[in-house]
Amino acid sequence: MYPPSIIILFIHLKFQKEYNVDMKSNNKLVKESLYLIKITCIWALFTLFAFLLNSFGWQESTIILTYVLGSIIWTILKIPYRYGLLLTFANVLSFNYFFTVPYYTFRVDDFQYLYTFISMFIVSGFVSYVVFISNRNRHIAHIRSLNNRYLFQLSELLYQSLDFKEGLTDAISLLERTLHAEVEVHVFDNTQQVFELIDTLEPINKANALDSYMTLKPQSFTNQDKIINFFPILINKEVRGFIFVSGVKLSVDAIEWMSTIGSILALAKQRIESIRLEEEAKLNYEQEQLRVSLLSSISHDLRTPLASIIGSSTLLMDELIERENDLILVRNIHRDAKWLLDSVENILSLIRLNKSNLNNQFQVVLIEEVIEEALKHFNQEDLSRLTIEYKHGSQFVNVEVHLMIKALYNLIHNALKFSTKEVSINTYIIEPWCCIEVRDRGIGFSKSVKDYLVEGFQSTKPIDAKYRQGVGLGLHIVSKIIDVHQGLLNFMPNQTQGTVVSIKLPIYKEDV
Amino acid sequence: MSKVLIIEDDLSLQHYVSTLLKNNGYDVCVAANLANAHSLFYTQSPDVILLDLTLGDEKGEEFLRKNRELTESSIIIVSAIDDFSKKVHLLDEGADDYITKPFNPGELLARIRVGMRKKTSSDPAKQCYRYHDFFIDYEKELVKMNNNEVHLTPLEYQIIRYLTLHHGRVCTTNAILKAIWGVYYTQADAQNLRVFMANLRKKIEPNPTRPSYILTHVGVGYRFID
Repeated sequence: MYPPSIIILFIHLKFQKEYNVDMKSNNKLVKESLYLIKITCIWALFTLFAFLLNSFGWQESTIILTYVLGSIIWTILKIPYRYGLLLTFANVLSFNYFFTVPYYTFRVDDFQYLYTFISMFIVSGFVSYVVFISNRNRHIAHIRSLNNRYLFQLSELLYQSLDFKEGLTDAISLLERTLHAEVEVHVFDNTQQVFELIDTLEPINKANALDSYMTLKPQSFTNQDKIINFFPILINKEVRGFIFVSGVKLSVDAIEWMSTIGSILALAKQRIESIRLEEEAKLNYEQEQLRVSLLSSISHDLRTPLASIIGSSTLLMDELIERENDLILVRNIHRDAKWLLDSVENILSLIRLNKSNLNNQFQVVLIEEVIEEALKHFNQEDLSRLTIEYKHGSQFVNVEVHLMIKALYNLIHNALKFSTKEVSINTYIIEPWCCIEVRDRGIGFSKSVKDYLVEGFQSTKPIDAKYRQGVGLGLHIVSKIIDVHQGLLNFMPNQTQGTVVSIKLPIYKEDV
Repeated sequence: MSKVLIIEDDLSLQHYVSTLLKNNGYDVCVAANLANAHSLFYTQSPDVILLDLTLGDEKGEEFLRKNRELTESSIIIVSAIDDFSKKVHLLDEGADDYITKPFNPGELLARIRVGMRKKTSSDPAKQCYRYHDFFIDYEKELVKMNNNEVHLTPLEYQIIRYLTLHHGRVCTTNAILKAIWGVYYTQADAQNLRVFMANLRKKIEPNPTRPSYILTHVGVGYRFID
C-alpha cells in the first residue's frame, strides 16, 4: 500500500492537469464539480484510512487526529475555502456517524463528543485557514516570479533579435502561451500609422482605443461577451502602438505586468531603431569618407597638370611678346588655368573644412604671418594695388593656417577683382577680437544681395576682363572658414564707394 | 655649367621645367623614376636636385633618405602636397627647400640659385654677410642697415645670425629653436620666437608689413632672403 502522502501528491498532480484544461475551457460548472470530486475523494480516502486504523483496534483519539489531518490536507490542493469548510464538516459528521457510540447514527449520547466535534471543527478550520493564507501568498509569489521570468525571457528574446518583427512574433507566441488568450501586438514608426490602425477597428474597440490613446492608460471592456484589453505602447511619451489581449479577464497584477511588457516592447523598438540609425550613419560616414578621399586625390592630381599649363603658358607669354594675337590666346590659357586652379583650391578647402580631425590641425600663429603668406599668391601687379597696416602690432590667433590663408586670399582676390583702385588691408584689436579688414573702392554690393553673399553659387561679373567670373564658392568658403574658427564675418558698404569686409577672430590667450 | 637634375614623372611638367631651366642657362637632366634618378645622380653629379614626392608608385622621400648623407647637392622638394607637418618633416630630414605646385617660375629659379650657392660656397666660417642694405659681422657681433648700427638683444642677434648663416634656405621653427634655445625648448618658446621675429623685423625691415629680408613660411619656419 502506498503511503498516504504519495497518493495525495498523485491526486494533486492529476487535478492540477485537469485544472489547467479547465482554465482553457473556462467553464464554471465543470470547475465546481471538480472541487466536489476532489473533496469527496479526500473524505473517502481518510474515512477508509480511519476504518483501517479502527480495525487494528487503535484508540478513538487516533481517529480524531486522522480526520483533523483530512480537514487540513485540502489546503494544498488549491480548493476554495468554502469547499475546505464543507470537507471539515463532512469529516466531523463521519466521525460522529461511524466511530461514536451509538455507531451508524448521528445521535450523540455523550456530551463529551459534542465538545470533541466543536474542537475538531475549530482546530481544523483555524489551521487550514492559516495554511490556506500562506498557500495563497506562496501562490502569488510563484505567479510573480513566473511573471518576472516571462518578462526576462521576453526582453532576452527582443534583445537578441536584430529584426524587430521577428522578435515580436516570438514575443506574441510567448504571451499567448502565458496568458492562454489571443494576443495581437502592433508597433509603428509614427503616430499617423497608429491612427490608421485605430480607424480599422470596430466602433466599440475604436472608442476604447482612442481613450487609451488619449489617457496613455490601458483599457478593459466587453465587446459581444468577449473581454478585451488594450495596452498602449509608449515611445517618447506618445502612443506608438497597442497590445490587444482578448478572451481573459486580467487581474490588477496582470494589467501592471502587461504595461511592463508594453514598456519592454517600446524599449526594444527604440533600441532597434537606434541600431538602424547608427548603421545608416556609419554607412553614410564611410561613403562620405570615400567621396572626400576621391575628391581630394583628384584635386591633388589636378595641381600637377595645372602647374604645367600655367608654367608653360608663362614661358610662352615671354616668347610671344611680339605676336599680339598669339599672346592673347596664351594669356587666355593662362588666365583660365589659374581660374581652374582657384576652383581646385576652393574644393580642397571645402574638403579640409569637413575633415573630422580639423581641430587638431589648428596652430597658434601671428595674424600678420598668415596675411603675408596669403599675399604670396598674388603677382606683382596685384600687390602694387595693396596697402597693409597693422594698427596694434602682432597678435596671436589659433587657426587652421591653410584655411585662413584661403579665406584671406579669397577676400583680397575679390576686392582686387571688383575694383580697379587701391585695396587696403588693416588689422586692429577690439577685445577680445583680432579684426582684419579688407577695404576696396570697387562696385560694392546692393542691400538685396547682402543676405545671399555667403550662401554659395551666387556670383557677379568682374569689372576687369582679365578675371573670369567665378561660380560663387569663394565667399561661401570664407564664411564657413570663419565659422569653424568661431569668428565673425561682416560686409559693409565703404563710405565713399565699394565694400568693407571685416573678419573678427578670437585673440589667442595662453590660459584659455 | 651648373647642372640640375629634375626628378618628375609628369612629362609635360618635366618638359616645362627643363625648358625654363635651359632658357636660364642651366644644364638639365631628367628622370621619371627612382632607378633613372639614381644612375643620373651618380654619373652626372648635379648641383641641385628637384625632387617630386609622388613618382607613380614610388616615393620621392626614398631618394632623399638614401642620398642625403652622400652628397653636398641641394635637394629641393617640388610637390603638390601642401601639408605643413610633411614640409617640416622633410626639411628636418635634410631637404634644402620645399616648393608647392603650382609654383611661380621666378620663385623656382630663385630657389635654384640659392641651391647653387650652397654647393659653391666653400668657406663655411664666414666673417660677414651682406645683402643689399643689410650687413652682419659675425666676429664683432654687429648688424647694420644702411650703414647705421641696429641695436639687437642677444637673442635677436642669435636668431638673425642663424638665419643669415643659412640664408636663402627655409629654417624650420624647430631647427631655430634647437639651435638657440637648445634641445629642451617648449611650446612657449615657439611662440616667443614669433614675437622675437616680429620685433626683429621692426628693427630691420624698411617696411615691416612687406618684409623684404626675413620671409615667413607660415607653419614651417623662416627664411632670410637671398
